[in-house]
Amino acid sequence: MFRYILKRLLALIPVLIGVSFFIFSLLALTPGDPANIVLGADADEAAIKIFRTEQGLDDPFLVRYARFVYRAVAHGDIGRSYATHRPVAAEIVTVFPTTVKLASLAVLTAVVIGIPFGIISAVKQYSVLDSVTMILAMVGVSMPNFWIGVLLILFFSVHLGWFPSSGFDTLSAMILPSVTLASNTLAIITRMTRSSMLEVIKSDYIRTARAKGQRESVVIWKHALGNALIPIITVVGIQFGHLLGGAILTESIFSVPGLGRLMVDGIKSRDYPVVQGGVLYIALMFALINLLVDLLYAWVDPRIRMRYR
Amino acid sequence: MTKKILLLLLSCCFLAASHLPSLAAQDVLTVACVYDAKTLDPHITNDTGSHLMMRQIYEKLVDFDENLNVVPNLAESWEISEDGKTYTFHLRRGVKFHNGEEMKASDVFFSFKRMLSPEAAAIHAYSKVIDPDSFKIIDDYTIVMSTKEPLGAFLASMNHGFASIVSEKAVTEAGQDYGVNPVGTGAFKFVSWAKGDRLTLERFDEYHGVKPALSKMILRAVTESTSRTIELESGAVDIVQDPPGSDVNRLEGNSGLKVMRMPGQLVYHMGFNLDKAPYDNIKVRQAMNIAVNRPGMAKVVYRGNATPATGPWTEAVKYAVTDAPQIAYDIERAKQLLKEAGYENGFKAVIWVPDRKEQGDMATILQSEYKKIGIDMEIKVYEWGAYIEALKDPEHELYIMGWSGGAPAPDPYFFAGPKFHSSVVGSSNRCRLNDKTVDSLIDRGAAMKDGPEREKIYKELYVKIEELLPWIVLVNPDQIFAAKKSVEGVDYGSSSITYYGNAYFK
Repeated sequence: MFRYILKRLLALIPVLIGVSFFIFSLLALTPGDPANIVLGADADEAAIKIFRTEQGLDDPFLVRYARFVYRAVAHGDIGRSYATHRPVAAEIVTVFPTTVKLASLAVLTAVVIGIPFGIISAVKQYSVLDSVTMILAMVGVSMPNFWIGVLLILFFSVHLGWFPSSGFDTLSAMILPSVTLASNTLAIITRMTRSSMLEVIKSDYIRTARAKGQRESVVIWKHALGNALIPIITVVGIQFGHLLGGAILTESIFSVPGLGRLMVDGIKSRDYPVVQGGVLYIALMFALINLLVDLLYAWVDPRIRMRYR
Repeated sequence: MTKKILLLLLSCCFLAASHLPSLAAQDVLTVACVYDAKTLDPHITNDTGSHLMMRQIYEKLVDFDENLNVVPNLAESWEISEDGKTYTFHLRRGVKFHNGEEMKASDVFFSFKRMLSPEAAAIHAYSKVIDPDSFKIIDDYTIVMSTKEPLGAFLASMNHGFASIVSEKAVTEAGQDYGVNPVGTGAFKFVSWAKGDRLTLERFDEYHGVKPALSKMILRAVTESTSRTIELESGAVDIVQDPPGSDVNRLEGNSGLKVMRMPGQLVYHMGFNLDKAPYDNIKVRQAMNIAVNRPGMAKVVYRGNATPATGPWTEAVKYAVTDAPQIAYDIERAKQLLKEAGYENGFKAVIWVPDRKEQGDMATILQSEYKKIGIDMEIKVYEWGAYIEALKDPEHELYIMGWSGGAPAPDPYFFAGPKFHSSVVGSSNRCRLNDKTVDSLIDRGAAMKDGPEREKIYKELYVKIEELLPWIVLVNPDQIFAAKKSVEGVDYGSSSITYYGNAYFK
């Protein structure tokens, strides 16, 4: 088990190198001079020259990349933001708690509502409840986030005045963004739970469990759900990894100061270090969540656990 | 059980009450701003969003009165040498920084040195005129400095945030984190900054000037324009900047709110590449100038919250020509002019615009107007960063830009210099105007002290630019604020970087 984790962590190194090279090349190919955006569209040539020299922007691409990798590996320094002159790591640390909170709340909402509804839909297949749930799930998958967000604001903030329409500082301010962000994930989880459960419910061991006179609730929750959980965990994991990368639209609508906003601002202002650092961080999170999901498989499924021995 | 239900009900009430506006006498002002600050270090950025927030924390040696005259602030008085280059500033005594230190000449020296360092490249456009070797500290309250060339608008320019005075001790102590730990001398001191969300300030009790009525000021960054209006309507904020034009009518209909419309300094214009045919022909430019229905554009693009532009700079800029007549809209005359220029059958044109809604709309309107005189105009949309870069390339033909020239001071020198002087062709002079008379007028006016002679020169410059038509001016959007009726005391007019410290609740 330990060797497996170590192997997976080592496999992260080529991934991060690949990602960093890719994002570095993309930024190099993107039109727009950071100096002209950071210093203002009408900055004078002398100031632009000073900025480019200071930031080493006039060096060839490979030299810049090598310097970036060297600093990152040797000093753990992924650069400083052009706009704020602060270390990128510090900038990410500032927005990180907000993003984690938002992503966790969204995933939690989605799991707590989605899994039970998926199970009920599967158990009572073709019932009215099933149809209603599936229609709602279809709507949830199809409706873009920003639209749901605006509708929620109109109804709950403007019309009823229950929740603030922006910010992320109090619990009541967190509800609307979390629900907005959860909507798609919730729909996906519900549908996934339903289809996964349907597959399992028809299998022989469920019939056996019922035949031996096991109570229906135990059959569903233990025998069926236990076996249906793997694809659900995969979906939850992928969604969580995705949300940790920042929810750009939701964050913009509700003025949530998260990673999505940081990245978008970074891209717009050609703040290369922020974009590079942010993408690296997202890649790292995604890889770690994937590892966690794989470990969860083993925890959930004894058959997989055996393979790690 | 009943107890539990009661408890639940009670906590629900608290939850609900926690975000209702308090009914007690209000002394906390919340403003919804358009942008968040990038940093609170005044010397490393030149963006309006940052400087608006810093305006509430920092002060400069000078200030403006409501008529944009330079008045003393951290400097109590000053003398200017005969040649107009050397300034002796006498500092106000007993001014405290927010960290308790007294402001001395050494802090002023430190601040100005910092404005000239490579780190401060973002503000060099304003600070570069200062001679880095000219500083002399006479005593704790007297400092001498010189400009490289005489610059009549130097004192006025120092009212911009780039010239904010920082505490040497605070900057040195905070190091790279100074941008999130600002220390100024203003009436409000920094409490906390949740980046992307809100900046919280509180009254500084040792402030050297008039004590503000507010105990706290919260500047929120609400970048989504519709959210800004909703926040005001739901009572969560007291003032919003720049509500979207489509919401303004609704806000005006709300009896608890008031809407303030200030004539803006921003001039949207279509620039020509004067090096390129057919735009090097003045007749073509004149034809295109009178083929635009500007009132229509102001109405469509800004829902009437803009005025048709009449000249290269607005009345908000010093020495502007006031009451300039509307530019004619005359398609027949435009056709005639094109004919005289030898383009009877029109020509194909390309206009570049950034991916911002207003500019895109303007381009679409221009496209349909120019079709009437036979010009077949193609619109190419660029992302902002790519746009700025592309315009350096002399291959462009037509482009749309906004220019407010309000930084560092609403002076024709700062307005015309970066846009029309031949020394900056290819960087900020995107129309590539290269005209000896224009250059000499800008330079002569720059060196002069304010007065009728300077006024005469800059009025001449205004007329000359109108005559040369390097730009077709389009519209001047109003600067709009909306606020609760009870908010008083804010001077919305004098600058695009508004100071909110004088606000009070009625």
